[in-house]
Amino acid sequence: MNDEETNQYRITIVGIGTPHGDDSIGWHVVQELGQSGILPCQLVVARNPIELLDHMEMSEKLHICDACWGEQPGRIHRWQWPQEELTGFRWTGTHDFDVVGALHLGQQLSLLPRETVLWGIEAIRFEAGDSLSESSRQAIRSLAKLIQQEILVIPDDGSDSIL
Amino acid sequence: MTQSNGEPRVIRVPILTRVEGEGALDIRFHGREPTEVHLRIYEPPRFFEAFLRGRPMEDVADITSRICGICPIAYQMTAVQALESIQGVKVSQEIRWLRRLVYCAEWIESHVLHIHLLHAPDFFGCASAMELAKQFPDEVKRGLKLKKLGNQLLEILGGRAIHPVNLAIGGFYRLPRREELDALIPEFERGLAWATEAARWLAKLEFPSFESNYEFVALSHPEEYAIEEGEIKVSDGTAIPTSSYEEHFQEVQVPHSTALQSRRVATGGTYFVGPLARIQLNFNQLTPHAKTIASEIGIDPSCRNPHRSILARAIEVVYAFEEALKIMKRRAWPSEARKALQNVMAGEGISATEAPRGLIFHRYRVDETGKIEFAKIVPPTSQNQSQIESDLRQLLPTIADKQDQQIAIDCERLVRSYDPCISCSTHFLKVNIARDGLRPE
Repeated sequence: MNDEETNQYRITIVGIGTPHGDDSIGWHVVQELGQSGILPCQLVVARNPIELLDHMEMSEKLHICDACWGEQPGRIHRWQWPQEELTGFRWTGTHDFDVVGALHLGQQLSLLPRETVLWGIEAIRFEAGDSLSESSRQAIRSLAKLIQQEILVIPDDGSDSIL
Repeated sequence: MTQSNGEPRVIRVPILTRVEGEGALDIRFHGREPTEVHLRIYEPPRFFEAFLRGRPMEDVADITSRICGICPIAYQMTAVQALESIQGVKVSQEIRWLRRLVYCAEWIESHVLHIHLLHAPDFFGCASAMELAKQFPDEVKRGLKLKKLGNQLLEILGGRAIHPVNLAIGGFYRLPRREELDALIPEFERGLAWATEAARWLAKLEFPSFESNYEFVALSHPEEYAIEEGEIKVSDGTAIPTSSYEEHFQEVQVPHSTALQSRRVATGGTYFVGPLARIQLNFNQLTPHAKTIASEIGIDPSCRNPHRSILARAIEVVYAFEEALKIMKRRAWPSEARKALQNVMAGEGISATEAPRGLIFHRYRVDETGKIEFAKIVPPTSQNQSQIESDLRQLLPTIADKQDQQIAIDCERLVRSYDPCISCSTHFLKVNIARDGLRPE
């Protein structure tokens, strides 16, 4: 994609993940949003959170979707960056830069867009060969709907709860 | 040091940082001598070789690309070429150029990430990439722009940047559009200038004076700097046909690691793969510009210091930009995306290529229906693991007087020189040090 094409997207949604079980949550959310075909956004899947840095400068608003550890599988979180709670939160990446590290680096380099929203789904299965858990499958649909509502400014009907 | 109560001194680095994946380093001293140096890969093995058995050979490239998010092309290309050798498929020169081009994209992306965010902080006195970004924001931004260019090229040729899907037995599933590559040429001209500046920036670095008498191993090709094909060359002058790889190199199980380690069959000794080995063995096949910059920043075939691998990587980034530009400017274009298989043949085939981190070897056996009967995958990090432990055993007596924390930092820096990807061999890094008289944590 060249710069001219990229410039038309002011909102970017990045799904972070790997193919392994619930770690693919971010990718599935992006896929779900792509199938709806109605969002004026750039949709991106990424494996390493450091790739977030490629999409910061060209966006006015960045939505990031990822799996996270937690006690209640399927629970959806919405955080507005910057937020202290995120620093202590455990993300699923095994590489040196997790999502929060990549956002700090983006901030340090003045690359962050005007607004950054981080969405997390609490998940349980991360081993190679695992399939998506049922709780994640349901949460993916809910999260896609929530993001659509937020971007298209549709009032929340209360059916998909977030923290 | 020897402790007053005679107990061994143990140093543990519980999580090695700024490496791909997770692992640990356990060190035990008796006096000044390291009696135990274990690079410990503790993640469970991922059984990719077993997953492949019984699957159609067309699935192999897609599955093996998922072993690593940093170097999926290395896995795909090596797998596809091994399977093509079984099926008697020989791709056209034009397809070969496009494959070399996508491999250049992966070298750029992987090397630039390691240089700027994982390894450079070690030599600029920074504890992390965050600190480096504070000190050198423009240089880190330049690195990110270089990485993005690698990503863009990978996306055009691989179908997508993450888990590329386009490499197929016989060629590509879909050829890129000529104009997509043409549009990248001016960007890559700028990229070459940035890559050259980045290499010069690294020339300011000061490196520890560690050296060792390595046995370097890399592919070598009569006509070009070997990337996607060639025969195996060893720094002692031995030339090994790729088909004889397993007669000369063997994997062994060690109790402290879930990843296999590789040794020379003849000597049982360790060996060194990766950018420094390639620079050693194939220096003359770099472009004139890359050789000039190499000479300017102080890296040449006499180098025996693994810390200087960061310079070798920087030179390979310059080379990869030049090579990519050369290929993108060629007007010859494949007449077809891929050769269709006429008849499926049973048999066994191998391939070796140069992943960003070094030599990667695959062997497959296919039955008469095209299903995989056997798969063997030897990634570069497995091959370097024994060499890393050997280096640490040589380094440790020279730094034994330091505080444990500084020893851990020095060891991590040496380990990071190899750019280990534990995701491939399984994952990485924690350092634990034991000295006489102290209990390990």
